[in-house]
Parts: sequence; C-alpha cells; structure tokens
Amino acid sequence: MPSIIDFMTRKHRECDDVFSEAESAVAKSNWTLASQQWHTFADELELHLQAEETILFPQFEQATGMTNGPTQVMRMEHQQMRALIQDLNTTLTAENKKDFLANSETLMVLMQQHNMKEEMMLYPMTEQHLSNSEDVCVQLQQHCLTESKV
Amino acid sequence: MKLAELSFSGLPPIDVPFRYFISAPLFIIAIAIMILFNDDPLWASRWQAATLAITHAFTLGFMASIMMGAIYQLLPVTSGISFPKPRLIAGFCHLFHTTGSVLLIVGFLTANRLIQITAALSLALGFSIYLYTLAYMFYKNKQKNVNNYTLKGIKLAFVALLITVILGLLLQGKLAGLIIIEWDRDLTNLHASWGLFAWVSILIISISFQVIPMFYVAAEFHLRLKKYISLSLFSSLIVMLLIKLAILPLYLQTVIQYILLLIGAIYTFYLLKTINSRKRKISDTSINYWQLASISFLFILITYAIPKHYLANIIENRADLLFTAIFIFMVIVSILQGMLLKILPFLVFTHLQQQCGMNFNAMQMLPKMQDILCKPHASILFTLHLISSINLLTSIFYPQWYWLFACALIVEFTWLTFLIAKAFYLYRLNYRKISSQITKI
Repeated sequence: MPSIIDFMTRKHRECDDVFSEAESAVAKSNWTLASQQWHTFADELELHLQAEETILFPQFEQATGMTNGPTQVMRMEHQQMRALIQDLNTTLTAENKKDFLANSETLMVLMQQHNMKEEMMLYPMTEQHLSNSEDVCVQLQQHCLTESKV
Repeated sequence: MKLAELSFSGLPPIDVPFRYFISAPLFIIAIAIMILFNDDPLWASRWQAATLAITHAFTLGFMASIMMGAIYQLLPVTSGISFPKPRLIAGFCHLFHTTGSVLLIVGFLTANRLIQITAALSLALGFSIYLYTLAYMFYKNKQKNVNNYTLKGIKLAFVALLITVILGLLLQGKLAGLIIIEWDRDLTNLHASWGLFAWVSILIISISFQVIPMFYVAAEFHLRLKKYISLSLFSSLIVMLLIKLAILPLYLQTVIQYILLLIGAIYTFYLLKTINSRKRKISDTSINYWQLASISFLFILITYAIPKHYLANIIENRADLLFTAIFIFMVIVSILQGMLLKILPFLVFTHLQQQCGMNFNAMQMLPKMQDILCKPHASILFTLHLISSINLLTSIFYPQWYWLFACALIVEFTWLTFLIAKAFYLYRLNYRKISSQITKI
C-alpha cells in the first residue's frame, strides 16, 4: 500500500511525462499527437486537482484546523493552472506553436514550484496529522484511477 | 516537522538575490577592461599579479556572488529553510563581499599593503556574517529534511567555503606581510582545490540533483550517487589537507588526484545520461550550457589521464593553466549561466504570482516566462559564451591575442548584465501593475 506522499508524487510525475510528450509533439508540429497527449494530460491533471480539493485538503483542514493557510494557497495555484490550461487549449486549437510553447513554459514552472511545496511540506504534514491516512490514500487512488469526473 | 514551520511564503524579497546577480557580471566587465589596457603579457605565470586578479574576479566576484545570491532563494524553495531578516543580512554580506572582492583585486594589482589588509578584513566580515547565519539556520532546522540530499550537500559545501576562506585569509595575511608561511605554494593549491572542487563543485552537484529532474522532467539521479558523491569529494579534500599537514604520507596525493578525477567522471556520466534521457525535449539553451560544461570537463579528464610526455609540447607547458581556465570558464561559468537562464524567469514569475494572491484579475497580468527571458536572447548569450571560450583558449596558446579575449568578455558579460537588469525591470513594472489592480478592490 503506497503512502499519500508516494501516490501523489507518482501522479505528479505521470502528469509531467504526458505534459512533456504533448509539448514535444507541438514543437514538432505534430498536432494530432499533440492534441491527444494534451487532453490526456489536462484530464489527468484535473482529476488530480479535484482529488486534492475534495478529499485531501478537507482532511488536512479538519485535522489541523488550518482553513486559511497552505491549502488556500494550493487552491489558488490550482485556479492559476486551470486558467493557463484554458489559454493553452485555445493556442492548441489555433495550432499556434509559438504561443503554445510560451504558455507551456509558464505552466511548467507553475506546476513544478507547486509540486515541490506539496511534496516537501503539505503531503508529509498531512500524513503526519491524519490518523486515517491509509483510508484517505485509498480514496485518492479511487478518485484518480477509477472515476472519471472530468 | 511542526505545523508552524509549514510556510509557503518563505521567499526573501526579490532584491536580495538580484543585488548579487547584478553585481556579479560587473566584476568580469571591469577585469576585462583591465586586461585590455594591461601592458604585461597575459598568463605569464599563475603567480603573476594580473593572473591572480583575473582568477579572483571570476571565482570571488562572479562565481561566489551568483552562488551566494542564489542560496537565499534556493534554500526556501528546495528545503523550506528561510534566512532570518534576509534584507539586513544580504545588505551587510553583499556590501562586505563586493567591497572586499574589489579591494582584493586592486590589492593584487597595486601591491598596496593597506588595501590588501582592508580587503582581507572586509571579506572576513562578509563571509563570517553569511556563514554564521547559515550555521544558525541549519542548526535551527536540523530535524527538517533529514533525507534531502540537496540540503546535505549544501551544508557540506558551506563547510568547504569556510575552509576555503580561512586558507585564503592566511594567504592574504602572508601577502600583506602580517604572517610568515613557508609552504605558501601548497597553501595556494589547497585554497584553490577547496574552493573549486569542494565549495563550488559540491554546491553545483547538490543543486543539480533537484533542479535537473524538475526543470527538464528527467529521471531522478541514482540514489547512491546522491548519497555519496558530495561526501566523497569532501573526504578526498580532507585527506589532501592531512597530506599537506604531513599527517598522511605524500604518495597518497597522486591517489587522491585520481580519485577526484574518478568522482568527476562518474558525476559527468550520470549528468549526461540524465540530461539525454530527459522527457522534456523542446529546445532549451540551458541544456546547451550543461552539455558544454560536461564536454569541457571530459576533455580535462582525458587530457589529465594521458601521461604528460605524450602530450604536445604546447599543451604540456601550459597544462595547469589550461585545465584551470577550462574548469573555471567552460565548466563552472557555463553551468552558472545555464542556471541563471532558469532561475531569473522562475524568480520573477514566482514572486509576482505570490503577489497576486487570490485576485484573478491580477493573475491575468502575470507575464509569461518567455516575456521575462526570451529564447533568442538566451541563445545570443550562449553564442557569446562560446566565442569567449574560443578566445580564452587562443589567448592561452597565443598570449598576443589577449585583447580579443578581453573584448569577447566585455560583450558577453554586458549582455548578461542586460538580461539580468531586464528581468528585474520587468518584475518592477509588473509589480506596480498588479499592486494597482489589487488596490482597486
């Protein structure tokens, strides 16, 4: 049974991988492949964000009593990512390579610094404060792996 | 980890790292102007005043400034450890560091005793405040990130910096006639080895463990490599120190030299493997810098491993100077410039993004990474660096062409100063826009 840190970190890496494949396809102007990979990435990321917002963050807030702290910062960054993904959808539809790569670089930086905060601080803290961390991890897995809520 | 330690806003004010970044290339521009108008032949000997001045402009003025400035920003991001009162600490450290570095270089060139003593005092003060603050932070956060190999490496690198500084101050004391040291050439070699192979190399290697997988979507470095490489480098230099102090036998020195080469070869192999297998394959100038640094280091390794009598006379006579110049300019300066290309837009974007908070109208004003540092500008910097590298090698074998190297340095580092200043200007511009958007509500 993986821990919350292991599972969520693995999901970050999987998202990064598909993101890079989409970006490479755009760089080669292979728009069909780019579109496929991009939508896989966007769906995966949305599931991951939802899992955090509906399962992980409420558990953290309940266990620590911190409702306006780190989880609020994370929610704000999720919204920033969603806004950038919308912009990227537009540039992908327009097959605008230059704008896509400019936006994708920004999303990449946003995701990486966000992931680092979660992996190094939020996930370890959550696991430390939850008495039911194994159950929460199962819920997260079910959300990301089996449900399609996008 | 305690709940109170969970802070996502531990970044220092952006002017803290930027003051170091902006002053760093100015040292190279100044020294290049000095080279251009210097009548003495360049690189006549490593003990020549001009050679010492140039070396310290690169190591102390440029390399140490970039790395010390970056640490203010990297520690909170990679380890969740923040400097206390960063503006105050950075204000003093930067002032003493830059003043001390300028005076040290002027002291080499003028042989003025008063300037040499003032340089030593200023540098000692600057480094003491910086290292004391770091030691305090590491002690206070000793329970944090116990398995973070980047943080462990950074700690070792700063112990190495302390040793480098102590050795440097002893040498400066000797130069100013304050103390008598009989084995000053060995001391100089130790000072250079601790500075380049321990402080600089360990810091770069440790940071690469975190930034290469992150920025290029590459695999993590091998766990054993992360665990042992910094420690091996550090231990090898401790052995070298004990040899010089006559505690260990002299024959071990050759063994240690080959161990250092082997450590370098292993890291370079894994670095190239990690970079080549990265998932993010889009064109990126910072990758070119890492590749140039790796190839240059491999050249040093191969040439060093060949017995000297097999080398052409022209290389044999200048082998030490050639290796040092390649290591400083084509390995370390390359990596630092490559890292700057990533750090500058990252810094500006992250600070502005934090400023936006939950204000979605403000978020629309965030600049794109490409606006902060565009790819063609980065490519120009890399091309200029290649031109300077070629001119450096030419000037070593044909010193009469020194002026070409000086001109190339002036152009390259003026361009770098422009890129750094432009990133900071864009930060200020967007900061004002975002602030006015936030206050509207």
